[in-house]
Amino acid sequence: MRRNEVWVGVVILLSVVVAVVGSFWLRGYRLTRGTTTVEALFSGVGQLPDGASVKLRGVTIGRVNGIAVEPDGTAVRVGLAINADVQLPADAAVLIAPESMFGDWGAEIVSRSANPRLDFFEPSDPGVLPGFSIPDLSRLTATADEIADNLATITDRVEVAFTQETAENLRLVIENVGRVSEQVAELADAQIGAVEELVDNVRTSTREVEAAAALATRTLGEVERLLSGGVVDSIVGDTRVTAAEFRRLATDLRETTTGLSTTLQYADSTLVRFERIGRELETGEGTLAHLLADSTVAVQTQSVLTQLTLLLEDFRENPGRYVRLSIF
Amino acid sequence: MAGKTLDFVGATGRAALRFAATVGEWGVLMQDTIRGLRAVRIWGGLVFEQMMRIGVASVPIALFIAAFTGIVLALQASYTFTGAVPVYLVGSLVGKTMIIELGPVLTGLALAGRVGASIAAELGTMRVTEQIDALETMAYDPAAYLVLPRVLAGAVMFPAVTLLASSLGIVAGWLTAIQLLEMSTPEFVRGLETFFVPFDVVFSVIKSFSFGLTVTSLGCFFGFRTRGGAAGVGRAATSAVVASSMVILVFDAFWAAVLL
Repeated sequence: MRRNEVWVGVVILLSVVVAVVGSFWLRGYRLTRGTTTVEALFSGVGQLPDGASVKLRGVTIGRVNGIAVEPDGTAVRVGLAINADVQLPADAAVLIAPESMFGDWGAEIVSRSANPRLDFFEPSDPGVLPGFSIPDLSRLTATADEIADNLATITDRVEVAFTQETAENLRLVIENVGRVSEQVAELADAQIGAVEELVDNVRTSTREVEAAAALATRTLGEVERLLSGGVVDSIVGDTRVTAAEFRRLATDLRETTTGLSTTLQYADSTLVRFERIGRELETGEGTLAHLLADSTVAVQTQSVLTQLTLLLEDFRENPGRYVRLSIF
Repeated sequence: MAGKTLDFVGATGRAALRFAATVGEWGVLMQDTIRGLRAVRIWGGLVFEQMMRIGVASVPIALFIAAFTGIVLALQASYTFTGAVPVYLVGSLVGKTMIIELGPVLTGLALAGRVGASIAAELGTMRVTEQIDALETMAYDPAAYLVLPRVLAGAVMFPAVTLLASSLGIVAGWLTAIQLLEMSTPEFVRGLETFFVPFDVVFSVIKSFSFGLTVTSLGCFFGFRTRGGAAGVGRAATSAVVASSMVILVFDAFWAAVLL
C-alpha cells in the first residue's frame, strides 16, 4: 500500500511539475533573470497576442505582458516585460509587426529617429513609449486585391470603349489635327508681313508718344516753374479780389433794381395824372382846356401826349435803353 | 412493404428506448456513486490502489503511444512543410497538436482499451459470480466500494498521465527534429513558443478529466450490468471499450466547440 501511494504521488507531482514548468518556460519566464515592465501606447495592435516576443535588434529580450484598450477607447496600452539588464535606446519606440506570414506577431523596440516615416502614437505620459503597428499582410493583400479589381474594371471598360470604330475615329482626329497644324503654319506665314507692318506702326507710334512725352515733360516743367515762382498765388489772390468785387456789384445791382421799381411807380402815377388832364381838356373844363380852345394848340398838345404815352411804354418794356449801368 | 417499413420504425423505436434506458441506468449508478461519497471509510482506502492500477500502471503504454505520435508528427510535418513554410513551424505543430488534441485523445483511447476493459471485466466477473450481490447482502454499498474509487482514480490520474504523455510526445518530436530533420533546438523551441498559450494546458486537463470520468464510469456500468457468465463478461468488456471510445470522441468535439 505504501509503495502504491509513492508511485501515485510521483506520477501526479511529475505531471504537475512538467505542466507548470513547461508552460512558464514556453511563455519565456526565466528564474535566472529579473524583468522590468515598460508600457507603450498604440492606435491598434493588429493580431499581437499576449505573450508574444519582444525583441531589440533582433534579440528576444522579453514578452508582451498585458494588452488593454484605454478607458477612453482612443488607444491600446501594451505592457512589455523585458530583461532588466537591457539598456533601451534613448528615443525608444515600439514597433508591432508580423514576424512571418503565418500569423505570429511580435513587438520590437526600435529607435524612433531611425524610423522617421512611421506615424508613432504620441502618448501624453513621457514614461510610456510611443508605438506603431504595421498593417498585417491580410490588409495589404486586401488592398492589393481591391486595386487589382479596379484595374480589371478599368481594363474592361477600355476594352469595351476602344472598338475598331473608336480607333478609326481616333485616326481621323489625328489626321485632322495634322491638317489644322498645317493651316495654322500657312496662316502664320501669311501674317508675318502684317505683323511686320504692325511692328513698324508701333515703332512710329512709340516715337510719337516719346515726343509727346517729352512735350508733356517740358509743359510739366513749365507748370512746375510757375508754381515755384508764386504766379499761381498771385492769380488766386486776384481771383479772390474779383470775387469780392462781384459780390459788391451784385449788391449795387439789387439796390438799383429797387430804385427802378420806385421810378416806375412814379411814372405810372404821372401818367394817371396826365390822363386826368386829358379828360379835362376833352371836356373843356379847367384853365388848360380853355387855353387850348384853340384847335391848333390842342392838336399839338394831343400829339405831345401821344408821344409821351409811347415813350413811357417803351421805357417800361426796355428800361436798359434809358438806364445805363456800368461795372467798371 | 408497409410491414417491413413498420418493422424498421419499430426497431428504431426499440433501439432508442434501449439507449434511453441504458443512459438512465448509468445515471442511476452515478447517482448511487455520488451518494457513496459520504462513505469515506469504504472507498478511502481503495483510491490509491485504483490510482496505481489505472494511472501509474498505464503510464508506460501512454508514454509509448505519445512518443511515437510525437515522432510521426515531426516527420509528417517536415514532409508537409516544404517551400515557403518555415521549418520552425514543426515545433508549433508538434507542441500544439500534442497538448490540445493527440495527447488527451490518444491517451484516453488507449486507457479506454486498457482500463475500461479491465474494469468492465473485473466487475462483470464479480457480477456473474454474485460477489456484488454478496456485498449488497452484507450491507456494503457496491457503488461506494467498487465504482467510486475507480471513478475518482480515473478522474485524477487521466490528466496526470495525459500531461506526461504530451510532454514526452513533444520531447520525442524535438529529438526527431534535431536528429532526423536537421533542425536546431532554437528553431524547434521558437515554434513551440510561437503559438503556445497556457490555456492549452488547462484545455488538455479538462478534456482528460472528462475522459477519465467517462472511461471508468462506463467500465463500471457495463461490468455491473453483466449477464450470462464468461460470454457476458466478454461482451461487457467490449461494450465498455466501444462506448468509452465513442463518448471520448464526442467529448473531444464538445470541448473543442465549447472552450476553443
